[in-house]
Amino acid sequence: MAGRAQAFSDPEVIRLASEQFIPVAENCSPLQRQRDAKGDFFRLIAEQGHYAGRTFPTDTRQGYYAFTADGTLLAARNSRDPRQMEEMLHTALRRWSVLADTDDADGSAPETLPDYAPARPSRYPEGGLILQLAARDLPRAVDTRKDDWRKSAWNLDYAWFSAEEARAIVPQPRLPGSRQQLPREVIRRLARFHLRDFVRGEPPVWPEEAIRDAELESAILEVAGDERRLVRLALHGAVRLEWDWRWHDRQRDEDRHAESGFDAALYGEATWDESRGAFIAFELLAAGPRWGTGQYNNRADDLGPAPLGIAFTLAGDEPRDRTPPHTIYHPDYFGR
Amino acid sequence: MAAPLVDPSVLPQASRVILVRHARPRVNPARPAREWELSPEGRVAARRLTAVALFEHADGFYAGPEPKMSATLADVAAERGLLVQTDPSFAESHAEGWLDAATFLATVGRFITAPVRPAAAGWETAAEAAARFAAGIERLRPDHGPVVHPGHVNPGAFAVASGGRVLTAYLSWLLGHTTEQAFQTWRAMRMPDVAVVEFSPDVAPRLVIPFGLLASPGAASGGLRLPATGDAG
Amino acid sequence: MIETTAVPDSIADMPTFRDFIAYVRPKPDEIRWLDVPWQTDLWEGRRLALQEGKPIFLWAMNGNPLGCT
Repeated sequence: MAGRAQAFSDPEVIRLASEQFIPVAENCSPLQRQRDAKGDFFRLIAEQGHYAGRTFPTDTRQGYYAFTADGTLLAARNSRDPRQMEEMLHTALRRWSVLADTDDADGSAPETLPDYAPARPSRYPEGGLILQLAARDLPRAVDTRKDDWRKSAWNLDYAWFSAEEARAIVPQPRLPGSRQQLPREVIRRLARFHLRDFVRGEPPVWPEEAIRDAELESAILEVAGDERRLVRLALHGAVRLEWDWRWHDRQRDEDRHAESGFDAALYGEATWDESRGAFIAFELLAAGPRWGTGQYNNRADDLGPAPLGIAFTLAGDEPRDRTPPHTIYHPDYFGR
Repeated sequence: MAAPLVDPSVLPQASRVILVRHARPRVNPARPAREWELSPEGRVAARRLTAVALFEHADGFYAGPEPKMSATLADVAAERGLLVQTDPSFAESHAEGWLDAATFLATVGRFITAPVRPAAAGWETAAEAAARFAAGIERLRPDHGPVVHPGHVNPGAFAVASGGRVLTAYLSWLLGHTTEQAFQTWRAMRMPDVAVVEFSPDVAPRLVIPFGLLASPGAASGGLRLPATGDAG
Repeated sequence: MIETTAVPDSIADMPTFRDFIAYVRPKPDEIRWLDVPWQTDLWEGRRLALQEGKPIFLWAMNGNPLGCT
C-alpha cells in the first residue's frame, strides 16, 4: 500500500506512463493463473521479465512491465524506487524506438487481435451502484503503534450493487419520513465483504456466522427537484462482526487461530435521482472499534481495540472505477 | 565469512535456454548455406533483438559456426558486454547441395517424419543433429546456474542461436513431440525467432515460450492489426 | 487532522460524519498514481496500444493496484 504512493511520487514517472504508454493496472494473482487468452498473454510477458521462472520464495509475478501489443517485453522491474521506475520507462521507450525505427519486412499478412473470451466474465453491474471504499485507522487516545508505514496505512476497494439493489435502497413510498431496512442482501454484502479490516492487508471474507448483528435503515429526508425527482436519504445502522479465525501458516507449517471483530456504527446520506434511476450522491461511514488479528490483515502487533473507519463514496466514471471488488469472485458475493 | 542469508540447498536449481533461430540470410546458391551471411533485412532484424528484454536473463551467448547465427546474436551480446561464442554443437543439421524450394521442403518433411534416416544423400539425420545439439546444451548448463537476488531466485539462462532444422529436431526430441507437433514447431518458426526451454531437477524439460509466439520478435506491433469497421469476424 | 481521540457515541447526531469520511479517504498526495489514466483490462490495453501505436505499461500487483492490495 505504501509502495504505491512511493513508486508514483515522481511527476516524470506519471508523465511518461500517461503520455508515452497505454497504462494498464490489474491484479496479478488471478492474472498469472487464469486459463484464457489474457492469462496466456500475461504469462508470456511475465516469463520474459524480472521474475521469469521464479518459484522461490513464492511464484509471484507482480511488478511493472513495459511491452508491445504482440507480447515482446521491453523492460520490467519490481521496485518502489521512483528513480528505478523512471529508468525502466526510459529503457522501454528506447527499445520501442529501436523497433519503431525499423520496418517489419516479413511481409506476412497481419493478424487481428484475437477475440478474448474470459474464463471468468466480468460481473460489473451495468447501471448499478458502484462505491469506492477507503479504510484507515481513526485517531486513538493512546497510540502504541510503531512509527512505520502501518501507522499511516490505508487502503482502497470497490463495492458493487446491481441496479435493482440500488433502487431497493430507496424507501417506498417516495415521501419524506418513509423508512425501511435495506435489503438483507445489501446489508449482508456490506457486512461480510466490505466491513473487513483491510487497512494493512487483504483479509478473508467474514463467514456468514460472523455477523452477530446487522441493521441498516434508510429514511427519506427530502424529495425535491423538478417533478419531485431527487430523493435525499439518511442511512443509519450498526453491524457487529466477530470470528475465531483458523488457518495454516505455511511458512511456519503450523495451525494458527486468532479472534477478531469489528463493532461498527453506520451513518450516511445519499441522493437518488428518480429520473436517472441511480444515486447521484452517496456517502456512508462505518466506524467503531476493531480488535484482534487474523490471516493477511497484518494486525499481530496491534490487537486493539482501536477505532477503524471505512468510508463509502460514489465511484467516478473513469475506466479505473471499474476495478472489481477485491472479493468479487467469492461465490457468495452476489448472494448464495 | 558471514553465513548465507538463505540455505543454498533450498534454492531451486532451474536453468533456462533461450533458443534463437537465426535471422534471414542472403541466399547465395553458389555457396553452401553454412557460409551465408545475414541479408540486410536480417541485419536489421538482428539489431531489433536488442530491444527484447528477455535477453537480459542470459549471461552467455552461443551460436553454431555459421556466420548468420553468431551475427544474429552479436548486437544483443554486445549490449550486455559479451561476445558470442561459436560452438560446433550448435551447427545446423548438415546438408549437401542446393535444392529448389519444393524439393527442399519435401526433404525437410522427411527430416522431421523419419528422424533416424537421412532425408537426402549427405544429410545428417534429425536424431544425430538433436543428440549433438543436446550434448552442447548439457555441457553448458552447469556454467549458468541460478541467479540469486535479494528476495528471489531466477533460473540461470544462456542464449543459443542456430538453424531451424536442428532446433526443430532438438525440441522434438527433448519434449517428446509427435511428428505433427514437430511440424508445428517448424512451421511456426520465423526469422529470427526465439523460444525458451526450462530445465529443473526431477522434472521433465518444459517449453516456456514456443517459437512463433513472439511473432516476429522486434516488430513494434507484431503485425497485429485491429479489424476495420465492417470486417467480418 | 480530526481533533478527536475517540469515536463519538453517536455519529448520527453529529454533522461531522463527512469530516470522518474526509479523514479516512486518501489525500491527493497519497494517490498520485491515480493521475495516470489507467485501463483496468489488459486485453483492452492491447487494443488501445494497437490503435494508438504505443507500448503498454502494465502495473501488476498481488491485489488490484487500483483497489485493495
